[in-house]
Amino acid sequence: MIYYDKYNLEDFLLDENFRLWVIHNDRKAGDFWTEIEGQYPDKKIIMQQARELLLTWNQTHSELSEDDLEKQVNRILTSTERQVIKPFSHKFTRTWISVAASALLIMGVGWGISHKMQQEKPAPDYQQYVSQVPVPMKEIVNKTSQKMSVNLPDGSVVALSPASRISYAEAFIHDKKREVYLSGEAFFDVEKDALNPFFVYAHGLVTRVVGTSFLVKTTESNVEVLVRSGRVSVLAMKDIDNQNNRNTELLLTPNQQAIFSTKDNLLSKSISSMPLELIKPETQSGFVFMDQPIHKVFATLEKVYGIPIVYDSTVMEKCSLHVELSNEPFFTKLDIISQTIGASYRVSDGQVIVSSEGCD
Amino acid sequence: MENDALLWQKFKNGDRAVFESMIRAHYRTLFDYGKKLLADHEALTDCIHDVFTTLWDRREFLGTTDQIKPYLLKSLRNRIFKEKQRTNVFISLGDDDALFLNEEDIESRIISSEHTAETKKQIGYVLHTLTPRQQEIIYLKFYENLTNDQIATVLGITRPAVANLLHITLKLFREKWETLLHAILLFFISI
Repeated sequence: MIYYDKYNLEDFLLDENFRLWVIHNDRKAGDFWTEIEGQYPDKKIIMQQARELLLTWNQTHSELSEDDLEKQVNRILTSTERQVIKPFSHKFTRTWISVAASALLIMGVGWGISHKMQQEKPAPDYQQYVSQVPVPMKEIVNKTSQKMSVNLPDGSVVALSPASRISYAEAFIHDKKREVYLSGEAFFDVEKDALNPFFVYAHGLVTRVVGTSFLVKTTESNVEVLVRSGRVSVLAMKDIDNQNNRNTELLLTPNQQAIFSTKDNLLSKSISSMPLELIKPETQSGFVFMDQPIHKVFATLEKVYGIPIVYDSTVMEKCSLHVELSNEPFFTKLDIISQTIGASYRVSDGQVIVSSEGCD
Repeated sequence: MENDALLWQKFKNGDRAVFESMIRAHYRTLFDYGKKLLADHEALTDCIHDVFTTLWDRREFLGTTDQIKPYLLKSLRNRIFKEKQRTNVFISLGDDDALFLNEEDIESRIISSEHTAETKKQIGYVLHTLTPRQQEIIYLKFYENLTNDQIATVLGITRPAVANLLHITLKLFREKWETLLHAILLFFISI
């Protein structure tokens, strides 16, 4: 049911049936709109304006003369006819590119193998840490090509990636700590135990949690920690004994990610490349925004994905959104929104920063 | 539209007759649209020439389409944009929005000769106050009669973004127009 009494000029302009009548003189549509005009006499003037606009926009004469058109068409036809001999040079470049591409591919595979072999061996610092632990340790190495599920004594579960390994004390809870040493990549689903915090040591980075799930991924040059639920704190290992100077410690919330560069001991915060919905949108319409002010849109996104969105609310005060979103990934949603209102965004320090010059 | 898919396939197979009819069918559309982006007649016909010759050269590698008109409009838009970047090295054209010409004569061309000079002037005045991007979307929707999907293809934005831009543009247009008509009315009352 369409409420024509609520129709504005733009609604008439965008109504397909209305345009069918005005532009194509469709008789059925014509009867319909004549009736509407009778039913809603106060809409008569607006309808007349909409008609005039549509007609005005629709009837334009091109300034291109027939002669000129003919000349241009022939020009294109003649210059494409010559092209028949050309494919030779074309072919050459294509072969050259494909040779280059296959060379690149072989190099890539070779690198992948050597890289993988390297990964099978534990990282040197991992061995160093493990050997320093005074209590008996248990080590689990994933030599398969699939993820391996490891149940820890406290009930926590580790999904250990191929070519990765973890070590932990046989008497797992020790000194009011639960400690795991990691080389490679693993996803941790940690059982809640506030009295005995859970620590993951990996490649110079300490990740400390109470109860949560998160992913730790180490490569030669950095460590990534990605949080799925709960709160996680990360800290460079060199600062762990320095209780007073913990300014390198970062607190991560879901969908946030810390990247630690082992070379310069730098820790930075970012956002997961594919954030998950943490909760469902409150309203039934979810991500359907009909003429909503931008602050409402951003508030919904912040809530659902748990990612802070920073913007200048005074500049963007007049920005509104008329858009239907559903289950696109977070960054696709952001792309659509920023395209729509003519803004841009960047990710910095685990937040999304939106810049805009405002809307008219 | 299925006709378009068939024609496109024939063109890809190297059918010269189909290629020629394709040029004839769309040349004027491309020219009229291009004229709003690039005022220089010669440069524009060169751009359209290049669009078609490139299509012909690369026909074997092109994807399929069942929407020839938006495809061509988009190609021309990109070509003109590149051309402008190449020639105006000293004038930065960073923003897409700056693309649509903002000259006096746009509105006079958008507006037909059939209407009274007064209405024409009014519509033209209001159109002129819109941003080039807003003018462009009105042009594509009401002058070229493209669907929202087709406009999305031409402008390289999503369909919801098109719907939003149209909605906001027309709302703005209405508000400005109402203000203008109101002002005229007041003027008549006062004399």
